[in-house]
Amino acid sequence: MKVAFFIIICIFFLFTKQSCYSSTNEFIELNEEKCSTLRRDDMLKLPLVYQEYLGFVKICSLKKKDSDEKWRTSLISIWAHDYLRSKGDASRWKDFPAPILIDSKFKEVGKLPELYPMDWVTHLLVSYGKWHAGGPGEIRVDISNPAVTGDYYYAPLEWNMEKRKYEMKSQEPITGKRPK
Amino acid sequence: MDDGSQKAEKLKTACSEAFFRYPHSCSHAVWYVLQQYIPSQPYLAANQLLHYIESKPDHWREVRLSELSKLASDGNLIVGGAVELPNGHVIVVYPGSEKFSGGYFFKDKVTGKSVNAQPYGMYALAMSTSMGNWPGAISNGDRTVFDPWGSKKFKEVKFWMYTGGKM
Repeated sequence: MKVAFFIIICIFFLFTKQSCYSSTNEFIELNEEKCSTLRRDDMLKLPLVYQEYLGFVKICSLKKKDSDEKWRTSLISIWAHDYLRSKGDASRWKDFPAPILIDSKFKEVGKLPELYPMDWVTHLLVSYGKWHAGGPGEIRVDISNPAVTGDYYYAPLEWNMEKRKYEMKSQEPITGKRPK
Repeated sequence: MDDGSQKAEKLKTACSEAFFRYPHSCSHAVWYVLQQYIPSQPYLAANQLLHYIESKPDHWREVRLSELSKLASDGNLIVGGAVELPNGHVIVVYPGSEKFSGGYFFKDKVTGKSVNAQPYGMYALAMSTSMGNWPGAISNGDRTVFDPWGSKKFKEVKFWMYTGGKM
């Protein structure tokens, strides 16, 4: 009887631990449709290089699903293809500034290696999770690449508590899909 | 026609023949061109060919991106490529002036939408074929050396010029 009770308790804890583990490690994929065009007054908080892209700079909040709480981190990027379309199909690609991660005070806390949601031909899939003090502790950048080398990914951007920045151990792209 | 022009014409002809003979295999197309200069050249898949070339410094010299157009226009045989697992990609630099990369439409795999690959930068021309359907990798001198890769991956591409001698 005691043995049976012990097994039931173990199974209960096993399931509880498993479900806790799943929820803390769940990654949310950023939906580019939910990003919003940055208002003119917020644009002025960005570095000068962004100013010529007014109307094509969007902000995407990296918050938990269905959460109303004030989020800590947002992504800011130029919708480069939309910008160039507005200039005509023959417009040349520009040396667009890289997307940045900002905190709630618009302070830069990290950089992405390629333009979100689309660089020249690559499409970025950004996901975030490992929550820490109200913000994502890790941001992943996976690349859908239609060109010959195919898809690739980058080392995750990890929150450095001491520097209060997201850091990527290496900027080198890694061929293939990110291991699960 | 001077010697350089004649060499360039020979290279153009070899590239065009390779393009039409092997439209779906970059390594076979490059092999065909190599055979016009090195008849004993064995067939090697892209990754193996790149390792092979790198191991023959007496016959192949690495050249810079900025030199490609001039060297190929003088009729020099230049192979470019990057090793990738499982399959790398190889091309031959096609004679002619540099031009803007891009200028074609492709299908974005995420949204399924057709996207314009806007002119990105000036690069040398390429002969490239591919088993895939990426339009930037299908070139009979009408696309550039940048187009097959077209992403941050391009910085991994190296170019080697054949300097002659028995292999």
